[in-house]
Amino acid sequence: MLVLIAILLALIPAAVVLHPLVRRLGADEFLIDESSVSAELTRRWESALAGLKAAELELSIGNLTPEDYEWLKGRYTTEAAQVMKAMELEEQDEQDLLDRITAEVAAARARALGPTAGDD
Amino acid sequence: MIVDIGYIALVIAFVVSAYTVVASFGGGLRHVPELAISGRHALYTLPFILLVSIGALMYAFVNNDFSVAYVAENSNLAMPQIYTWVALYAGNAGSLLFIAMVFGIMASVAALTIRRSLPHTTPFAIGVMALVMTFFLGIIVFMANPLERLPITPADGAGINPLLIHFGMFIHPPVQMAGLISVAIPFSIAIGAMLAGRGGRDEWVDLGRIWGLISWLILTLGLLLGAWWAYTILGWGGYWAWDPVENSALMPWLAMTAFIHSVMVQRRQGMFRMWNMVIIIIAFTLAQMGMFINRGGPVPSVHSFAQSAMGWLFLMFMGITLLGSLAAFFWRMDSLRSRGRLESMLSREAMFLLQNVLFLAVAAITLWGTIFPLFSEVLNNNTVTVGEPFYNRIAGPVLLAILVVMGIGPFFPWRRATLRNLLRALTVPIAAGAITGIIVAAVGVRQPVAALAITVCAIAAAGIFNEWFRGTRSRMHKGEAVWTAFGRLLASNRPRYGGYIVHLGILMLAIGAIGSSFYGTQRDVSLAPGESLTVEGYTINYIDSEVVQFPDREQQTARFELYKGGNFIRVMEPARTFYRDFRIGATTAAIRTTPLEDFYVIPSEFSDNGGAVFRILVNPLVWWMWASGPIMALGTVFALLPQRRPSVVSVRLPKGSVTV
Repeated sequence: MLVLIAILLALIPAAVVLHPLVRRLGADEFLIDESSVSAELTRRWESALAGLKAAELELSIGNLTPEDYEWLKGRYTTEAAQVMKAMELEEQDEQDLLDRITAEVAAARARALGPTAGDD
Repeated sequence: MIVDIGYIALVIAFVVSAYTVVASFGGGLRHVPELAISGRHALYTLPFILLVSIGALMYAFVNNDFSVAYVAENSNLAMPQIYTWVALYAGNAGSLLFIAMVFGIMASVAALTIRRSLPHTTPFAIGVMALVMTFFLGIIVFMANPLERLPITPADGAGINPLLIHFGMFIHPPVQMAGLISVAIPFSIAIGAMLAGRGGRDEWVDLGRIWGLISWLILTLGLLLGAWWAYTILGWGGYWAWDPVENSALMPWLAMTAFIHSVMVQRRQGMFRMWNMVIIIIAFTLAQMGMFINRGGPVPSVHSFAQSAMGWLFLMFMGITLLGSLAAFFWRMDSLRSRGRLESMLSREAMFLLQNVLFLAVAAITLWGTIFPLFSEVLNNNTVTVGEPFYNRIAGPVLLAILVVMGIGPFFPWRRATLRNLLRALTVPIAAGAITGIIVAAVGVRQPVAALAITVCAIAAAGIFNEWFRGTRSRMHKGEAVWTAFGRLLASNRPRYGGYIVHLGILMLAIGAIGSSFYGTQRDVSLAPGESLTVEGYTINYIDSEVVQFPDREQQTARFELYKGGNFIRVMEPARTFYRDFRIGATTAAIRTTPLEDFYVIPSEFSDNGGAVFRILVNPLVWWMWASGPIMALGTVFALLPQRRPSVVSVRLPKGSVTV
């Protein structure tokens, strides 16, 4: 009886552990990279916005003088603008890459299929 | 058979944990997703497997199965069943199993929370967590098995340590143990990010901060509950003795306090990346040091109930994790360079850095005081213990400086502050501090340190309330009702205002510590039945004492009538109990608590003619210390509530436009 229960007890974690290996789960496990440039830019965007919000709060409660607020606002706005520019470039780069891949795939397909009927 | 099943579950847990280490690191290093997922799933099974072991041990306790050595050592037939929970972790082996169980739950929840947002970090973080778990389970399976059988079953057990028979023991040890081991979670996330090559950016910081705050809260509650237990049951009239085990819980708390502040700078400015790694490594090392001291460490302590000879194994594991973490740190050092730089010493970032240094200084002082007896023994062959005066003299001024930084730090804006700006922000708090200082001097407070500390507390409190007042007023100008405005102000920046609530809790703690340390009164008096005595406006009338014999102990209870200003308040019944089997005497204090002061009586010894020697204390403001716990918990939970994230709005600028 004890042996049976021990086997059952061992089989449960074994099944849980083996399931991803047998079913080859996790094709998309590492697809998203938390360290990607876009993730980093999003973080910087959030950080600049949070800074702006905090500066506005500090101004409204009188912790910041208008001059210091303007200086901080300038810094955070510059950062936010730089991040947006970088995001656009990133988006453009991604689009260029996608276009290039699509073109290469199309060219490869064309090469593989050879000249289609009626070409000449 | 159930006990045997429990042991089999322990062995299975050990194997599964070891597999988790291999699968997680393997899956992460080789980018094999199914292996990484398999490791993660293995981690999820651990709490359930360990639940079987804990259940088996509980079953043995409830059924008085003294064939189990741990049950025979930590319970007996006379033990009320309600204390089964306490007995579970009363000894070394059981407490290790309890820690493994709690850590298994925490690690599984942590894995669930990080796996989506940190996919590359997660396998490494889980690998680190599983490494810690495997160490604990290895110790349990091979060296401290709580389900081990005795060759001969005794008729009765030895019983639970009498000092543990107290309501506080239902909460304090589990919270304290959970607090120490919880430091491993933010540590694992940070080291996991570094090993995955993701520490150079700040993706781990949000979750590291959340788990850092959770760990900090558990450590805080554990410390407060421990102080409360010492105050009410140890019967010496105080709550903190700088005992090595107390220190071992304080040190990681200090490091974690530094961490949860400095990690915000990384989150906001991309700075302090290396510093945060170093702090979390220090915090986990100190947490392990705590477990080492608690489990047969060589430093003498009043907390002897969980001692064993395996402390050195903990020391070895601490050394291995420290060296391993530092190796990973130096390996990835180049990627940990900060994105930003300190723009001004008059900035929030600089204040956080200063605060960090001060907290780590207190941790270093405490560490030195804790391990000094070891050095003195090795060097002079004479154990010199370090007591309260050392800590008060060396750590006291640093703690005061921390209060100052806590009071004025939040008024420094991020990046840079001009002097004019600071003067404007600090006018009200400093004025409030000055007025408090004058009042304190006028009412006759002559202790300079106490007067200074009260003044600093007033500055900090005034700063918080002033900001809340001005923020609420500002929102009211937009037409919001007062409470709506206040609520929305707090909700507008939860981490900031949650932190302020915690700061208020710290101020309450400081006020309690100042009051009881500087203005407490202590009298040792001998009284015969019928005699009266007046102390600090309280009059006590000693009625008599009564001895009651229990199967396991002899308890002598004194009865007093307590009066103040001629008015009867209540009857107080402090007691002294002698546990025959353990040869331990325990004192139960009688305490009358008010927010203003505690009246505290403990019997030191009874004579045959009914007379007795009593220690009477009047401890001002201690109530505020206990009340600070819920306030700090509330503030931490508030800071942890999710904040609405600003969304990225894509705006296409017209050609030729200039961005600032």
